[in-house]
Amino acid sequence: MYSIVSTAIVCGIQSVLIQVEADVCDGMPAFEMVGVLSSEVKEAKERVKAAIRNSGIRLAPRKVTVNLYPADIRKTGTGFDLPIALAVLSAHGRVPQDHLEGILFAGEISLNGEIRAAGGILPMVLAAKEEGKHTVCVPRENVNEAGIVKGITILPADNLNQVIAMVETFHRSPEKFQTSNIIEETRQEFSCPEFDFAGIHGQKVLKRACEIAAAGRHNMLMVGAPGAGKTMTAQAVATILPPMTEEEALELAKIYSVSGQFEQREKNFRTRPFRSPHHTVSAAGLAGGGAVPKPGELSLAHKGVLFLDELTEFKKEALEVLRQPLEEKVIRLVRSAGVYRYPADVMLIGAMNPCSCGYYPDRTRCTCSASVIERHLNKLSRPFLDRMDLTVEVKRLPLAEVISKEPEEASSVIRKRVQQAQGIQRKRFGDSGVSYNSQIPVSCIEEFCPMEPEAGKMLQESFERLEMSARGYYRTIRIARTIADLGHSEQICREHVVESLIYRGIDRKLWVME
Amino acid sequence: MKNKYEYWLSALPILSGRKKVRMRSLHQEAEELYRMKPEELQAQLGLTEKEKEALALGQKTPESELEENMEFCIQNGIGLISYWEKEYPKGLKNIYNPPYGLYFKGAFPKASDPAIAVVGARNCSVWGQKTAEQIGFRLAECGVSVISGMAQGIDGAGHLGALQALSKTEAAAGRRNTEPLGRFQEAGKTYGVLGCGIDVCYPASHRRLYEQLVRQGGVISEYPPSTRPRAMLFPQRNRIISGLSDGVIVVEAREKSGALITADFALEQGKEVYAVPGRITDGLSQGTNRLIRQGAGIFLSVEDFLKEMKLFTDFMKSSVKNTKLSLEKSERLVYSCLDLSPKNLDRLLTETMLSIPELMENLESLRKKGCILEVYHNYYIRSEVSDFA
Repeated sequence: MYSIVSTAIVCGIQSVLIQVEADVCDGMPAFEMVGVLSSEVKEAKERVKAAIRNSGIRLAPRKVTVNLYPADIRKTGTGFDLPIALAVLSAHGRVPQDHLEGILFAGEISLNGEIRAAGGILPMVLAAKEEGKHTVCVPRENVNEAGIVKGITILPADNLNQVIAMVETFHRSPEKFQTSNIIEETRQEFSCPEFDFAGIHGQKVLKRACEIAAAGRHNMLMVGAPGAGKTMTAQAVATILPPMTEEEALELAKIYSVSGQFEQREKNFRTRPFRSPHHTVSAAGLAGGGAVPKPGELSLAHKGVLFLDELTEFKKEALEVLRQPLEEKVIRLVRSAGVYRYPADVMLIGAMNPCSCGYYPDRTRCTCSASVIERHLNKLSRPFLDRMDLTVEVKRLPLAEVISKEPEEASSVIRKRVQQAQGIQRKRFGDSGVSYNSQIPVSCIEEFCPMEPEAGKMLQESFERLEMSARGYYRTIRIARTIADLGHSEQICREHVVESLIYRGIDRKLWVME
Repeated sequence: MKNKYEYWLSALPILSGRKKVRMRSLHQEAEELYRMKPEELQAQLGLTEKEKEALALGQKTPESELEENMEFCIQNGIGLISYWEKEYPKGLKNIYNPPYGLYFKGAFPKASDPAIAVVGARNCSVWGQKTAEQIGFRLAECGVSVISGMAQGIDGAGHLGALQALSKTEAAAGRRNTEPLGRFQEAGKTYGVLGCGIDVCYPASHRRLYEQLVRQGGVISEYPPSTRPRAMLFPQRNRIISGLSDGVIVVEAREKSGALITADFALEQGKEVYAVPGRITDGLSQGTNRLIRQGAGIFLSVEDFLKEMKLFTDFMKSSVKNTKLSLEKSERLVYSCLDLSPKNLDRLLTETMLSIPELMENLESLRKKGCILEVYHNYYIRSEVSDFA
């Protein structure tokens, strides 16, 4: 007898439907599996056989052939156990074929027949919906993940016998199973973690820089002594970013699903991610990698904040690998099996000490010689520094200011301004492909950044006085644009340009004294 | 007459200046030393084995090479003044270990000119740097030569100040070149004493200063050309700095600082030592305050210092005038918050209570008027220090 069951495989963050066919015929008892399988899929054979036996189902010794198609895709992952088991049972006549129609199955099976969680469920469910399936059957642990997708019925699987009973009930009376969004409430929720700008005292310039960076999604570099509050500030930046749109959140959830970390998104579906990998991270850990590439920190911070503390301590090759995805907002990992594309639209926040001891330019405490400081700064390559749009100093505060009770602006207030500024940007850019000021291409600067003559003059003077590079020049304009947006000004005025100069990059001439 | 043998003797390594002077005083010509048996010289002077070997090795240098070495100096504008010449500084003649020969590029200090050393920490504060610059400037204006070590920090700032005074008076003289030159007092020159070969610029970042010194002042070294800078050479050159000067001003120094070595040499050589006092909590004032505690003079102003030193009684009025700045109210507010220790934007925002755009606008206009300087990224100081000099 012949049977067919649907399942899916994950490629990058996309998913492709796979059909599992089983055929049972007379002949020497055997169990054959074909269809370009990786080792973990080949092992499914043993798990499925034991699970069926341990579920109390005795199958006649006959020849079983299982095929997974399309055959040109290499099958990886552990979600194939459940569909294979069902296909075999159906081919043996234990489960009617029409009970399995229209349902996508995925899940790992253990030897006693229990169904275990599998990775990448979310993209699979999305693919199922696109392909017109009305129902998915996934391990109970993955139900919340699958429930993110609207308008699909979810059958939670506990063990093999329960699944067989459940598909029968479903076949007879599908109305017993709701088409529901299990975590509808979670979808709307936007939780703000405990880090709030209200808890950061003083540091006016730093806070302003954070606001600008968040509004225009500019990358930011914080320079300051250890213990000055760089990490806290970076975490607070994530709280002034507006909540993600449905689309963005779903895309991010897919990335987490693929990397097996979905539970991190479950509680705060709309909150933007904040990732701060340790400085010992490898290039693959940061950008993504492996024989079957997994998304790295860069993709896990998609649409959110990637915070790199102790920037000078990172491996050079790890940082250099970021350069291209920072521009293209996507990372492409090429493997023999194909090209994996992971989205990587992050706001990069870096933090570093100004010198090896951390106290420069306070010369009464810093004893680093000029050459030591220069060597310290040279740990970062010029092209990398060029990608940091705003540079700002973080100064250690005196105790009086740290514990002061003076009320400070809360993140929610700042977030409102950021949202307004982003609204202005959306209106201005329309469907030109640009969404934030930091992305304005040089060719469109004139169109999007009209300047008062006074401002233009000021910019010209500064360009000459500070010996700016062309890149630095355009960066200044983009930041001035964001400052103008925050001030609801259509044109860039002189004051916006003057302020934008505060945040210009480390130019060695002013940082290292001659 | 200086010949290639004098150049040879000056460049001879291992042997100290003192030994070379004694060696030479026993013989008429440097050439004799080149040809004598090393054992004979060893017996005469009590040279150590190592010194004898160095001498023997030096004597093996072929005459053609001696010629070349001398030619190299002449070709590159490097002068040599040996112990026996009348230009040799008197201050160095009677010290314990006088350099045998002094190489120089540019000018060489004249015995008649008063000279003061301005020394201090390499990793100095902006305040120290500005102070040293101001002292160098005023000393040079008064016609005093400024001697220092061309190092980073205070040393370089002292030179820079003197060079500024020099360009200023030169410009003034140039403007009125129809009038008799005598009416203009000539500014003091400035001389850098190096701890490496005269043709080596160390630190490399002082290339511009080095060139300016060669053009408008001079650089001096006891080490033969092309000597690489080594840590052990620098303390020794400090005896030349103090030896060339009538007094030493230490601007900023930590507890352990090369500037204190210069002060020690100066005391040994019977020169006056002055220190710029600082706050007792500042690391960079520890050394200077300790000097004062040990009896060094307290430096208050260049006028006061020169009077104390009895170098001058009637010196030129400072060309830096306390011009009344015409500032707007808000500019005045920002300006009044600034001094010589750099302040960052956050401090200025708290002190002035202005908003970021207002503060930036005022800083920008003050910068344009030349009243303030941005010394580091977003750190500002006043640019004029007219109240103290």
